[in-house]
Amino acid sequence: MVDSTFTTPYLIKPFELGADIIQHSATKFLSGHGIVIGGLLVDGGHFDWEASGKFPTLTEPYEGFHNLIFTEEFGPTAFIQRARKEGLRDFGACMAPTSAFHILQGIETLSVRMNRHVDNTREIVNFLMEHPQVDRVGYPELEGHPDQSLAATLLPKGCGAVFSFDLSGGRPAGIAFVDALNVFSHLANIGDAKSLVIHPASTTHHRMDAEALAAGGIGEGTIRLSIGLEDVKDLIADLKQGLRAAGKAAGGSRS
Amino acid sequence: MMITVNEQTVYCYTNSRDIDPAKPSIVFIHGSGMDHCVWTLASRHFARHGNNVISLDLPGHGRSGGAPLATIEAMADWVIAVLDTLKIEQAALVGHSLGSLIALESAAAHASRIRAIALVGTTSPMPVSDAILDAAKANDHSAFDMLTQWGFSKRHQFGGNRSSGIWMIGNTLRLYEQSRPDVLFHDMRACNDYQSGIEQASRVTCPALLLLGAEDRLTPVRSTQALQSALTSAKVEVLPGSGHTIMVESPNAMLDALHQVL
Repeated sequence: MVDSTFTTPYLIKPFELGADIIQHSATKFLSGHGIVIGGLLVDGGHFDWEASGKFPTLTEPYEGFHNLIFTEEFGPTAFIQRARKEGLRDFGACMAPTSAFHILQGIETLSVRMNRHVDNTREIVNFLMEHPQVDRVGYPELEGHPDQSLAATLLPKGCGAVFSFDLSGGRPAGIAFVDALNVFSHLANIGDAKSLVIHPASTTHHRMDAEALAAGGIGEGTIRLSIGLEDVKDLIADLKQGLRAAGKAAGGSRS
Repeated sequence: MMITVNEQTVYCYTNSRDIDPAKPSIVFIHGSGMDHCVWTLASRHFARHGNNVISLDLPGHGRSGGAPLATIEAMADWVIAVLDTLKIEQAALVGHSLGSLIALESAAAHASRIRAIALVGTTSPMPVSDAILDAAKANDHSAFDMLTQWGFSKRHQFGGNRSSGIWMIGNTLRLYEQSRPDVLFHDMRACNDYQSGIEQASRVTCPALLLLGAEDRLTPVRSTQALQSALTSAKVEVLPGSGHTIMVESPNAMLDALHQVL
């Protein structure tokens, strides 16, 4: 089971690589604007639930559906039928038509957007790699990244537009950096048309101390970016002035 | 349930119910390379409306053991053997494509056992193109692709399943892919070789329904004239917008039409 939200089907097709079920958040790159909440569960129809012997909810009579046995009733669609029917029956899940429209409208431009996301990301990764205040950039296309060769095989069109880097200067630098940015929006989302930034140590992970953060692979100066579709020169100019603010904050904290 | 027919263990779907001798019985027969799953909606619907439902997996198909049978006549005899095993004196038969020929042959050759037939996505004769036969013989995936492409109306290539979110083309492809080697070829050859359909149709006396898809490219409506003429007891329903795979392309219209004879 693969979460392919960050790549979308444009950058990778997990079924062709042996995945059985794929999930996506449609709120992210698929729709590309961050104005709806939606998700996808996609069943490739290949998995043999009976042979595995581990899925009685699909292979044994289900009393709540008049002893229906999903694998017998539906064959290749056993899983997705149960996921859909039970979800609809028990929770009444129904997407607003406007949300569906926004997602469908977004998907129409997926290929063009993903290319631009990747192009912009590569330029920004290169810019940050050269910057003295940046201790580390984590993007799988980079020399020395532990998954570099795997990424080259699996994601030849690009490794998406979400990555993190470590600012020197720790928490104060991270906070000042985010506060100073104007083009980047301070948001916990990813995959919008606009570029997004978040400083985990002061937001999503603010209850964790330095040691706990490190155990999760996060530094106190780690910044996560989701690179959007803007003119990359504007993005880099924004990052430059953010880095200046971060430098001042880091300097100030030391003095 | 698993049953033993001609000393072979085979599967038939009964909506998780036992056969009730007091209820009328309906047997659903799938098309080439398929299994009982193509009848999910119809079999469940009729099971919930007072019938015994028996959706077959023909020998060599789906959950049934054995080798695929070579001729339509042998398949019809086997369907009657299923009725014998289940102690069902008389049943209605609903067949799709290959299954429709089996239903037709059964109604002619075993008239006393069959109370009605519904032939879905049917024609007779049912010639199969050399391109499909050759690909099926070679167990080449292109046979599945051709059948899937021509087996749905052009519109339904792009979606439109009444059960939203379920991809009818993908499901059909997976069912073909799950078929055992050579099974599709045996089925298609049996369709192609069955030359006595018109003669047999003229012998049928039970109520009959021809349920056709207006946009069917595998068994086109225009090819059914001889069958319509011979099967004098038949009502003919042509469903607009449907291709060959009527069970998922026009599910509700199919149920309405089936109620005319079931």
